[in-house]
Amino acid sequence: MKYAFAFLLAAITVTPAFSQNLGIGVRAGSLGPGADVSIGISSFLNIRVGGTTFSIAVPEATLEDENVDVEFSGDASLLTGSVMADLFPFQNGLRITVGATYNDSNVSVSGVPTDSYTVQARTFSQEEIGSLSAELGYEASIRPYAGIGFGNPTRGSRVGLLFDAGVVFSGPPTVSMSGTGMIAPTATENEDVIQEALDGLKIFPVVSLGLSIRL
Amino acid sequence: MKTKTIAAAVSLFAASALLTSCDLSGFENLEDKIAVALDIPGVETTYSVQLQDAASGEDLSVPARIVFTGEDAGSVIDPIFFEQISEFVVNDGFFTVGLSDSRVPSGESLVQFSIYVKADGYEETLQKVVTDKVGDYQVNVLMVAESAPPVGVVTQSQQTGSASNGVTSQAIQVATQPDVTTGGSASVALPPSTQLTTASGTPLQGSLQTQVTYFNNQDPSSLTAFPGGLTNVSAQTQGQGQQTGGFVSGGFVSINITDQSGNQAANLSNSATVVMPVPANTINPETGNQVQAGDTIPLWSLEPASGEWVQEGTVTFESSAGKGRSEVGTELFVEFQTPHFSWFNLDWFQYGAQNCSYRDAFTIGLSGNDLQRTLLLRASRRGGGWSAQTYVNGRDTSHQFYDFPRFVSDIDVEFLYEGNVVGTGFASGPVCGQTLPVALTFPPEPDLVDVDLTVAVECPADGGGTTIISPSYPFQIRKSGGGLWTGVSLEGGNTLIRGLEYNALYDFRGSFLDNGVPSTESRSFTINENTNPGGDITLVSGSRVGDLVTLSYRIQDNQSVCDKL
Repeated sequence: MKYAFAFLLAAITVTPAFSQNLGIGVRAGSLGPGADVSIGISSFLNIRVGGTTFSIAVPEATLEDENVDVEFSGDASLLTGSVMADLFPFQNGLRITVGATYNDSNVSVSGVPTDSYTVQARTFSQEEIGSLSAELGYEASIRPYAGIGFGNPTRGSRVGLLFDAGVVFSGPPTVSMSGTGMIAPTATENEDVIQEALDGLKIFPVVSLGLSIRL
Repeated sequence: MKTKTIAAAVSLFAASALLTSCDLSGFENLEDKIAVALDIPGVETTYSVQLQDAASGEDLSVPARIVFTGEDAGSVIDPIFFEQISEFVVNDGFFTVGLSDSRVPSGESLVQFSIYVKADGYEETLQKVVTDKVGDYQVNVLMVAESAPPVGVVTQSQQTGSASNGVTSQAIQVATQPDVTTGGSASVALPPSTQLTTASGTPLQGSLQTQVTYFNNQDPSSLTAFPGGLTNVSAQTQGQGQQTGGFVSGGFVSINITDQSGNQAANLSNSATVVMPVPANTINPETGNQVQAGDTIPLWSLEPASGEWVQEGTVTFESSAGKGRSEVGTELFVEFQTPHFSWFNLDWFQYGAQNCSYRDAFTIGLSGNDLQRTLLLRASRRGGGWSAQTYVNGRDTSHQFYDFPRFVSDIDVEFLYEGNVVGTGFASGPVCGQTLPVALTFPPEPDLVDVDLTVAVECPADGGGTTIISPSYPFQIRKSGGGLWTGVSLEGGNTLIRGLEYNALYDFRGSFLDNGVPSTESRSFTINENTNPGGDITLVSGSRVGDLVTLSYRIQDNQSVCDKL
């Protein structure tokens, strides 16, 4: 982090001449598809503002148990906004990026039994067994980002390639589970187990590939 | 060089950030850690039944055969697997059965069945169960030990010759010792060369043992041990057919002749003569006066298969002095001939308008049971002839007696907790439709807390992983070392138990039908938030806030429990 801020400070202070170069980028990656606008501040620095949004169905999965199989399905919704400083220490395409992201992404799934459940002479319908639902997401907040990349939308050829790899220091996502019917205790029983696993995920990896157009 | 240094630094930074910020260990074997947890609903109505020695109050420790009889016997089920059950053998005097949810009890549609119990060393008995609303009930069946009967009951058992192909080698004459309270002695006499056969027609063979047991109609301990009880009696009358009503007792005698193989005589080729003593202070409900020679009383015998009393006829009181029968020991007696052996019962039976019905029941209103203690209720008529004993759930603020003779009046009531009388009352005069308020006062107890208890059972699933079951089932709890078992109903694995002693050890038990045979699962734990019981039960979490202790236990991987849930 020290290096990144040192470059940012140097770029702003050492290059008083303000460039009016603009570029736009479209990209797709782990945050979903998105677009951004870059302003060339100097040959060392671009300021970039962008966002991504995406919604996709979560692949169906089945929790298998001796007694009850539960089939899960749901949606993932990604929404981020970002303000980045792209630093070009070598005044070529290689850059170091630092900035802030606003992340409001979440995954929502629900599970229902695949069949009725019979214990000896007792058969419980799927309705009696009930359902499970889970919400996994990030608290909507601004979090720092750091990464490296290649490509400068404001300089060089008119159309260029963009590549970014970095991390959002997002903190762990949180999970919230609830249930109805006979299977309701499954929610409370597993929420802590899953949260404990998620607590290890303190960063959100970002990889994206895109194209830029210099305006 | 500078470029390479910076690039290396950036790469190192990125790699470090990733490596130090992500800990994926929580995902190792996550699939195994995730378990399906089920709250399997229980049946709406259950009966936790204790077979107790009538004199000592201890649970029976000998095997006992249980048979369910009566009009709703077909609705008695295994409360876990919902299968109908009709009979089984219980080894420790405790079992739990359920009532099919398709049979909903109400005041207009009472659920009624009987529990027939037979155990070696005890008088066989019958307990009528009547239910007017859904709930979890405790039922106690008082068993009379032949070697140590309760006050008011005397029994005599002796060798009485032998039988060859059912034919007795000698006359049989057996009489009980005099009852301490009334001085009465019951007897049976059988002429020689009488053929004895079982109910299925098998002749008795070899040495014979004859047993006579007499229950007087004066002592509450005798009347409450009376097989079948005196209320909610189902009877086959002479002339009026089947009726439900109540008995006013003139006494009870049971006669058994068994051979060395355990075959029990039911039918006789010659009639036996049975003599029953009757104390002179017995009140005849038909006259309202003490019985006199010449008064009559119906004679009943029990049909065990249906749990129904069948009227044999009517017998007449005779004067002992007038007949020169001083051996009877009481001022009056009855004598009758019978061609079969059974339980014989002298009772005035009252039903219909003579009876306190559900609509004008005798109600006892309770106050002061703030800690919802399960109580033992004893009610008895002054002057004898009627008595009843039952458990009262701690949640109930009243108890009703119905289907007993309107004649029954002047009732003493007492409530017991842990052997101590905690409330008494007296209802004078006719009690039908009367409400008797009883204020309860409990002895002071140290540092009582309420316990929010959660119990889950972790069971291995066949396909791997774990199924966690939160049972909905009736259990019982008591302070270790003795005392009254109190019913506790877990709903989804959770219950609130009022007034347990902090830091005291408690026993917790439940009875399950394992392939049709009751077996009891017991655990003990200390009521505080820190003590782990050990073994297969683990304290998952515990806390105390004021007088509320919250405890969560997990029974782990215990196949003996899991197989039953």
